[in-house]
Amino acid sequence: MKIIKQTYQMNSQSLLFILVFAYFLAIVIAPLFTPHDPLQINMNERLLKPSEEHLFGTDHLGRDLFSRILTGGQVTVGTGLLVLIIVLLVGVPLGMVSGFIGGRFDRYFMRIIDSFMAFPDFIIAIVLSGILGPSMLNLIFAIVVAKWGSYARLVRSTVLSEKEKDYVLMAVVNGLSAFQIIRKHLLPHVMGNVLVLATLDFGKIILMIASLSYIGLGAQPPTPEWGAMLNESTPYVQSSPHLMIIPGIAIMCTVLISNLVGDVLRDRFDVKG
Amino acid sequence: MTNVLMARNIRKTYVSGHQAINGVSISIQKGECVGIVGESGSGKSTLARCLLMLEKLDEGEIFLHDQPLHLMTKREIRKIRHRMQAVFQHPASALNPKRKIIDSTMEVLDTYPNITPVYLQDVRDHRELCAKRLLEMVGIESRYLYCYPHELSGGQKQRIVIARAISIQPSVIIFDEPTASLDVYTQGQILTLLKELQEQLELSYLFISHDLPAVYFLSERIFVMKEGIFVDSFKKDDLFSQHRHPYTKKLVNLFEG
Repeated sequence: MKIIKQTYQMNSQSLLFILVFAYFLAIVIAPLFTPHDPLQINMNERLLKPSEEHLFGTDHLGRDLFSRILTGGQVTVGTGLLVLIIVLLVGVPLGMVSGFIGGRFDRYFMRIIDSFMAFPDFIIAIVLSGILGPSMLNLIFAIVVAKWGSYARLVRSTVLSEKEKDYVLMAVVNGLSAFQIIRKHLLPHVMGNVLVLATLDFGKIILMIASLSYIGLGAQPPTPEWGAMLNESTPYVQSSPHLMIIPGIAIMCTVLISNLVGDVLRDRFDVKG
Repeated sequence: MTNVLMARNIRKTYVSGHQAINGVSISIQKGECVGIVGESGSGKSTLARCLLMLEKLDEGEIFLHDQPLHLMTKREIRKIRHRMQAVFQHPASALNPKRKIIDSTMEVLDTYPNITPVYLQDVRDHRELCAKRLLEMVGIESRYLYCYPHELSGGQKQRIVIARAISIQPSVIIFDEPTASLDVYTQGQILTLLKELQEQLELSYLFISHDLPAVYFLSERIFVMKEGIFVDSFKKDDLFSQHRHPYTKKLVNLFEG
């Protein structure tokens, strides 16, 4: 029984990872196979219902929605990944250094992070991209500023507890430099937690990008971004609801996959919370 | 006889104001085992940490092969760290749980790739053989090489820590209660192993413990530490002499009774 259960779990996990792989592969290569130019306006074919020619129908400017969804995946998910990578590159080293050095530097640094974390992520992102003006670059900056603190905090707390252990002391005795200790001993301890947090966060970041684009602070027309597409479809909710439903489903799928993978990783790395 | 490690008049007060060590001098000669015995809180561990330059000294001098450690920068000390190794009380936390046994064992040798101990000369450029030889020396089967620490028992882990300490042929190894977290049977095995290794490899030990019989078993000279100072020091054979300090006599009675 146990073996069957284990194989089942193994298979459902591998299935999930295959799905994820396929999903990202689709997002990467899909724009090469779009049936129509996603930016081509055709006023004769506006607001068409889904058909063989236009799989998801056309929007208010007659652009093919299927092509726009495929291209938009790269914009939304690509931006999300970029944000995540920058957040990791900023948050992890800063948290590592703060925890490792400790003392007064650490106390000041933590107060800075506290002041960032005192506001909800979303408020910081809206305010920043509102002040800086609507553009994809500003959007990325705004989300990074809103997000990096939680990673720095997570890494710092792990490092703070690990660096007191004897094996770090022994590493000092064994002649390792601070950099070597961080790389060989502390980073492996931190990466599991960070990976889980990042995967779970990826969905939130996608939602943030879509939401900010929806209220007009992110991607600008005619960029086919899922959130921006939702925005453009608002006036036509009643006549052509598919214009809103289809980008909505695309966003939902991405967030769902991110959360499922995050849960699997969390179980595997046995992270609490 | 040459002094391997010499410390003069070491003082250390913690930020809390607690004076852990109050003027201690000690010297260790080549091939010798010096023991320090004392109760909890007598400053033994602090002394070990000071000698390893893990704590900043308030006062005092430490010479390793006539090189003044107390005057050197961290970077300079790191260059000669391999001459001084240590084994601490808790083998479980002395090994990184996320690193394989081979990586933990080879940590010092990996850090100092240019140094080759006599007993590893023929296998030095082969990492796995090197680690195998070291595990053999401390009596661990080589099938554990690619295991993680949690798969080993406490005694086995301590043997791995010892393998790492001897791996670079250090001038001196400082033991801080190496057997305190092990059961009595394993304690005996580890002590015997330490004695054998010392004789085979001509190592110098500083053996710190609260366990007087263990210190007596290994050491040629014994210091008795109480409240941050050495109250008594003598050759091994003089332990039962009438001239011992009252505190030493108390300790002897404790273990005889």
